[in-house]
Amino acid sequence: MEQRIVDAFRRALGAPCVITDPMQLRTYECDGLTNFRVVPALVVIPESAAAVQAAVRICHDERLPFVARGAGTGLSGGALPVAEGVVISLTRLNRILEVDLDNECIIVEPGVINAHVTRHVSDAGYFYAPDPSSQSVCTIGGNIAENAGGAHCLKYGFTVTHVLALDVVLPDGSMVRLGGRAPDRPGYDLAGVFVGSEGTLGIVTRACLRLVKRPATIQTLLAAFHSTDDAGAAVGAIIAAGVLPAAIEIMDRLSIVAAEAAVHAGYPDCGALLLVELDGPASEVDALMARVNALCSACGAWEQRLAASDAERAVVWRGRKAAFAAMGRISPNYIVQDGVIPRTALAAVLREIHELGERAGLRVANVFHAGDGNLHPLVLYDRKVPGQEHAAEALSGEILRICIRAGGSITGEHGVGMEKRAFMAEMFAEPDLDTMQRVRCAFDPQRLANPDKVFPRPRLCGEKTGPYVPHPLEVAGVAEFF
Amino acid sequence: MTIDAAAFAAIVGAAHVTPAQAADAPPGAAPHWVIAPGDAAEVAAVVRAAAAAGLAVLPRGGGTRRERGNPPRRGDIVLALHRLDRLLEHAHGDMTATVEAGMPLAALQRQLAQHRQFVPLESHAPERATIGGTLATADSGALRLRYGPPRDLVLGMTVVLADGTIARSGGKVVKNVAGYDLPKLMTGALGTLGVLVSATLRLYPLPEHEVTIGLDLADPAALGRVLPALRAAPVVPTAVQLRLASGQPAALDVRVAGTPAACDEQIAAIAAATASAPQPRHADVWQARAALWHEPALMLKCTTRPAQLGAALAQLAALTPTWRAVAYPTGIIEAALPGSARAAVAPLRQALAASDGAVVVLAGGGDLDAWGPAGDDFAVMQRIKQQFDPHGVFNPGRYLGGL
Ligand SMILES: Cc1cc2nc3c(=O)[nH]c(=O)nc-3n(C[C@H](O)[C@H](O)[C@H](O)COP(=O)(O)OP(=O)(O)OC[C@H]3O[C@@H](n4cnc5c(N)ncnc54)[C@H](O)[C@@H]3O)c2cc1C
Repeated sequence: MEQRIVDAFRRALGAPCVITDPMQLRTYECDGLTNFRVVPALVVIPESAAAVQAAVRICHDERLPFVARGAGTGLSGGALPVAEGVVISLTRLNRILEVDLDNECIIVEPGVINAHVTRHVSDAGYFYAPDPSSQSVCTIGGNIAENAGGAHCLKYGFTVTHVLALDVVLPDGSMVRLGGRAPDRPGYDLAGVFVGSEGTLGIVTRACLRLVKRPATIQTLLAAFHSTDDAGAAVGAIIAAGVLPAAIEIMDRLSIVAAEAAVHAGYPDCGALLLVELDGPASEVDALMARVNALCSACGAWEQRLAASDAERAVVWRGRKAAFAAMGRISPNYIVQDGVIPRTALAAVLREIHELGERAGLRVANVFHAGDGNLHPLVLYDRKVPGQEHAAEALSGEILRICIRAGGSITGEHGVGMEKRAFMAEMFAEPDLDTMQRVRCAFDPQRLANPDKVFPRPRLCGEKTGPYVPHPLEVAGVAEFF
Repeated sequence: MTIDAAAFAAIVGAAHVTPAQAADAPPGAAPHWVIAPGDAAEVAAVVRAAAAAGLAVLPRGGGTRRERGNPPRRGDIVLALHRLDRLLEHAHGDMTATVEAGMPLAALQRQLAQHRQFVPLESHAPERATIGGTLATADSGALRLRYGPPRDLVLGMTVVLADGTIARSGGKVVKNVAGYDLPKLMTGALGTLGVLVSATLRLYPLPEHEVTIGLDLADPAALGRVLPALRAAPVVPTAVQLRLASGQPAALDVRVAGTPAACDEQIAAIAAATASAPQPRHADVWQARAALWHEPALMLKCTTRPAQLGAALAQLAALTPTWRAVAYPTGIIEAALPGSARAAVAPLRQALAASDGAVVVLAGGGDLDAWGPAGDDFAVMQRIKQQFDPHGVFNPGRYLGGL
């Protein structure tokens, strides 16, 4: 990068906030998806919203691409740098600015760690509901960019449900407020569309988040089944009975073994584990838990354990939340996949994944948010065995195709990022992608904010909308556009 | 302007091209024809033909919010969606439904109820209001506290853009972060970015047992005490509303659901938290909002931070001698006022702005701007409109800031 530009960043942010040392730059070369690596030309670590704005202004004036970065735990390469560009790290914007319990909200900077939000308000009886498994390290800014989810999102909603307002530095360096603390500000719901935009529409410098009152009672059930089919049937039965659990998760045999090896959660030795959390008024939870117990038994649960105290529940959850990392205990390498299927397709899809694994000679562990059909197949392999990495990648891609065919999605929470751009073109038709990019053009016509992510190819924003292209469904004569 | 009605008849059939009446369009617009396509492909063809002829299109569902927004700058044809009224799929095991935009809300609920499910969307006129119109206006009500705003219920959408492009976004599953969440942008956009032709919605189980109870709050100050107490209580109501009218005590209605024992427990908790004796109420009280709409001179939607609801109601009361309202603890007030209260809108806007609030004229505003001032993100909204509808085909001028 030209010295003149580096100097401009130093002047605007202060020299200690600008990193040029090649060794230090390398620590930013990837996020949680480590098979993509690019060393950026420059990293800046602004200490205020104004400094973020100043950095973006320089990028805009110099036509430099920039990539926002939180904790770098993203699993789709969203924070992967651009070689000739700037990484803007938000980790020093980590202050909690205001707690407003009367309005059940909190105002934070983007570098605040997810778990710190709940910790800050738990004494007052509140919590921040979106709880990604990475919550002890990932940032609110990264959560907003990815629309992060977690085990409790089935009942409480995803990050987007909990964002009331955002201060955003747009790619042209202007600062705007989206949304508001009062509901329904007149105009387009820009905060809503910003959440989940993976750093491609601007940089969040401040967020107003909704807090949720802690439920009166929480109970967590561990039910042991012989197979994921049985556990999946129990999930279907519970939902069909009109019960909306706070969380409902399944771990298969491989992931139980791995989690046990890693954190000794004391799980029963079984083919599949179902974890059901119910919360709410005490008598409601008691009544529903009795019903859930009966449904689990009817579906073949041979052991059921209830964790009622906070300590017991923490142990149960520790194994589940450690599941990804625990794979290291049973396999040298693994790919974390993230796909969604309609819940009713669970048994069929799991069988299909299993067969694909057998054919490829690879093991696939499954941990999933069963209530909303969000699968996390973990494809295990050994990089040292020639051809295995390639086979694992191919298998992992095939799993996404299964999700698409089942009417689901290529990502439920980890985002498209760098990794799944090509699959966007399999899930969506050209006119669909083109329409999304119109939003991109409204926010970032020069494509400076995290370019090359999410979309398989860019749209030129100046371009006149081309001739009408019929939607493939239309061509196929399908009247039911789903 | 002469409009080639035959060209539209060739697309939708002559029976579905009819001369427009005043009641077909927003006040101030004088469209020539009502064109009623039968499916998404016909919607796209009609929009394409209209755009090519330089016509402005006014999409219409049940017409229950005909007066919403400012009078359109132009409006040549009404695009009526009532023939798109099918439930395309009710995946009850997945608790989702894909429904065409013209289906009335009440008709949808009746079908969903066969599997003891419902979609927590609300309207003051559910028999006529369509799914498309309900999402385009993003109107909400007493259920919002528990189930969230309408946008949170939309999983996927198919829309027809101003150039006739049919675009799909989101999906059929409850969790999905692939690409931008366009349904968020379309919900509440009043049809200014595209015509909604179908949507996939998230459903919930119908409660087995529900009880409505209430408190009468004779003293206006009681509101400031009771709402926070209710919020802090260990209860999860499925609906809460306040009924108010000038010169009368406020009435608070709360609905709880669950097993009969759980309902009793919640009612006891409400009694304890509010230090009061809640009375059973008839389920009719939830019609209060619909009743507001019986020929009001002026209908307003006022918003505020939730904790400032009491203050906002006091401000409303101070500005006009006669009024009726239904208010929700989410910070939304729907108020019916006499025409003379139009002059109060500007000061009320100023007063509520202090708590991020706004006043939107829902009906009967006359010359008033329906939306009030825009924020610093308005430039982005303009660019969005420019990207989606550069020639102003859809509802031109009806939305915020003349969009
Ligand atoms: C072990 C493990 C478990 C995980 N479990 C879950 C899970 O359960 N649920 C889940 O949803 N995710 C999970 N993740 C993925 C990841 O933690 C989330 O995507 C998280 O939201 C990323 O946050 P981050 O701060 O690390 O962001 P980064 O990885 O640094 O960045 C992610 C994206 O956000 C953008 N970004 C960052 N900050 C900002 C900002 N201020 N403004 C605009 N854009 C910004 C970046 O450009 C990038 O595109 C897991 C990851 C790991 C490693």
